[in-house]
Amino acid sequence: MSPATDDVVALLALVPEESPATELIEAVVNNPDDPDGALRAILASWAAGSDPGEGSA
Amino acid sequence: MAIQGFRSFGAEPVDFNLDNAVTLLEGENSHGKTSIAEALEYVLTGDITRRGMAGSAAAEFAGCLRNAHIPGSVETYVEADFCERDSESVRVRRTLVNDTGRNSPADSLLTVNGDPVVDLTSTGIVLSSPPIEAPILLQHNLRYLLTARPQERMDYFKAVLELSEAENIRAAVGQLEVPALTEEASDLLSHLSEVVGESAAPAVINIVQAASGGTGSVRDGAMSLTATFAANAGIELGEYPDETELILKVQSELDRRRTTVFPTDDISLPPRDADLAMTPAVPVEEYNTAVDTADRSLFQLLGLFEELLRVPPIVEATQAIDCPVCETPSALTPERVAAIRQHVDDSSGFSQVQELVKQSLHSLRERASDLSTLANALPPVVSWGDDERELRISEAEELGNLGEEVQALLDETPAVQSAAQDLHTRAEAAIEAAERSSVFCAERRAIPLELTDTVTAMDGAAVAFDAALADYLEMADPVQQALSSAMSRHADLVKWESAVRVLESLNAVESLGREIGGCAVAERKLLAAQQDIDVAVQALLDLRFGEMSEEIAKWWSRLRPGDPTSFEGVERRGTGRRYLDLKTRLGTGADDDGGVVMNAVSVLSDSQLGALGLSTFLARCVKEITGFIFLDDPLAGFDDEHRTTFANATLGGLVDAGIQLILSTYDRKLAEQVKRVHDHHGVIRLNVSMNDTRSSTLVTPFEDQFEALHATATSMAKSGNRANRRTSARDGRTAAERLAKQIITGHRRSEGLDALLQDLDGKQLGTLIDTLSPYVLGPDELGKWRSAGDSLNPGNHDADVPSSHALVQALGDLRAFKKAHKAELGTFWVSE
Repeated sequence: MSPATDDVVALLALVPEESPATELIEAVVNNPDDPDGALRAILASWAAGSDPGEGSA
Repeated sequence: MAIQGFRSFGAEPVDFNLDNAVTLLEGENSHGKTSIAEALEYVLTGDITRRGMAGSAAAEFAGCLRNAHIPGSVETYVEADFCERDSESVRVRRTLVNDTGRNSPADSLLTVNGDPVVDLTSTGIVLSSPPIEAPILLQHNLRYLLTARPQERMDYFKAVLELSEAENIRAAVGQLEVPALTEEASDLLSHLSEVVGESAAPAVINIVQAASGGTGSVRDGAMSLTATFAANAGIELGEYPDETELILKVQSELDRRRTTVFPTDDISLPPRDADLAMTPAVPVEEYNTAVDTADRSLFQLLGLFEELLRVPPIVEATQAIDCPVCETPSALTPERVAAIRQHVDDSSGFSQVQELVKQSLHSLRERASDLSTLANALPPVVSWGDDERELRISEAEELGNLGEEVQALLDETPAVQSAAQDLHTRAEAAIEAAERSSVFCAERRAIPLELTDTVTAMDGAAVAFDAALADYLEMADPVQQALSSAMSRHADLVKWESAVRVLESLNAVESLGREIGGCAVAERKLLAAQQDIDVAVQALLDLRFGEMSEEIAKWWSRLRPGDPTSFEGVERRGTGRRYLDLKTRLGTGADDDGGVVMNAVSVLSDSQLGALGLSTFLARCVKEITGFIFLDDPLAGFDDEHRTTFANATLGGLVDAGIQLILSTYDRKLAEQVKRVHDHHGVIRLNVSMNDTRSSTLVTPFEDQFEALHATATSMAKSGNRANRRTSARDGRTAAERLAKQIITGHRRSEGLDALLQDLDGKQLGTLIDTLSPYVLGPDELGKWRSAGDSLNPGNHDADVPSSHALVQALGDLRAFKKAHKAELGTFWVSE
């Protein structure tokens, strides 16, 4: 994981571990050059529905 | 620090030291104190906050950085040496390339230790987020937090609290949208939702899940939803209806319901096989002429002659032979056969005309028959009875306020019906005439000319029918579209139409269903993520605001000890996306009084608001562990008591925190207090002065009495007031004595002597001039010294006060002496 700013580290700590938010925040941290692209890629992977059951939790 | 050409600084560089724990910049208003603060801002950020905070008035700051009075060839720059404790300093220099524009910041060349750089990253100097990036508090940004718009204030605090990145993430995720469904999938989802009676997304997820788990297929799932819908609506289906049965029954039910709601098909013209083109003409006159000119007796034998000429012995006979019909011997001589052939040939023109008429009459019959059929093929609406008309108008009104439109359409139908009836009659007449004429033609008799009139009448009726029909259709098309559109919204039909669409999509439902299911899952996860991030950011805001509030409250209590009004905290409003409040607790001072919490901006006095702005700024600087703080006249509106508190507790807190302090002030009493209280930390006092607006701001050590006194003397030298000129003469004389001591001591040191300024304490100007005589640099310097000594004499009476001219001349000479000797002595120059 790329170095995250203090507030992002704190934010991650405040988000429930199993929340899909974690994946999105880490995508932003790991892709500082194109955070929007990284977020869209995750959404696309969710929509591709490799595991549709995931979302019904 | 060295400044040249920047705002109030002139064409010569002005340099001074800021390396003590506390630096006091003292000077009158408008002499350049704020220019120093802004020079420091400029060298660090490339801009001044005053321009950035001007908002829409920023255009008025065009060309504001360069001193307007200096020649264009003079470079404008600010240079400063920065160092962390116990580390080597870096020299940062920013040279103005293009001054600020109406809507653009200045262009500068930035160097660090002489090397061009883009920013200060390499120096380790860390700036805060805009708008106040440098730890420099000017009058105009002291109030910024209190007067800024709510969103700007929120952004400022988020930047201070380093929450910008978290907020950026919240915004980025908040703006995310799940990839849009393809049009096909979107339509299918919409139809499925109609069938299910609510959003079908969860049902589709279940179907896709079941299909993925191996129980059935998406196709089965879609069929099952549609079958359940149909069964719930009372449609009888077999226990396990197959696809064909389901489609048939659902489509049939939709058709039934459509007709019940409004029979829009009745407005349409039935399909037609024929058109209404004109009928080809029958050559009746040509035929009748041929009949008239022919030998009627021969018509009767023509058939016989034609048969005879097909018999080979007759055709080939070279002499008379017996007639095969009447058996008359030698009746058919070659001459007679030739005459028969001539008769037959003469009749062939007639036969051609007869054949043409025969075919034309056949076409006429078919054409008239088609027209008769067309006249009968009318939109069913034409034959609606009165009761049905009334019913349909009422239905159309209920369906979509279309009663008037349907009424108007129905009013058009009698014209269509009448034209159709006329066409039918004319076509039937034409059929009868054609059949009768065919009989005449077969008998080679003349055909009555009335046939042509009948055809013309039929064609006219066809044209009239076509026109009536066109008028009707022109009106019918939009009415039908409006009715169809209204029907597509009709609750009783929408669901059934959707059910039909779902069944029609069954072949593609497998992939479309997976696409819908995937998007629905993504939507659900995104919503959950957005909610979790929202909650987390709010919790983070509360946490950081709490920490910040404690720091601000600490500085508030140092600035306003004993004030019954206390700082309560920084609180987010709502989700904290846009607004925050600065809360204050208003108390009466009584011990048991809990006070009332209010918005600070609305209830605090001017001096309290100033103190709150200062507290917030100091809390930020301490939180960001800034190395130094520049406070530019921060005590506007403070009374004596609060000034003393500021000098002691507030500045003490900063110095104790290890923060280097630069304080500019016009308030000599404050400066004295600070010097007295904090002198043990190391305090330097600098005098900031400017003789007139066209010259430069000067920054001199307060102890350098020459500059301080010379500045004061110069400011009053041209005064018309004698008392002021006397003061100018007195300060000028003291300045001259000070300068003489510096020159003498400097030259003595250059000769290797261990000389001190104090060696000359108590010497008067006359004695000092005698003492420096060996050191003069030109033949006229000594004379000018003596002349200055005469001019700089305050006298005892008004009549003795020197003129402005004499004072200006003397002070100018002193300035020239200092410049020349300082250059001559170099490092031996004594500045203190």
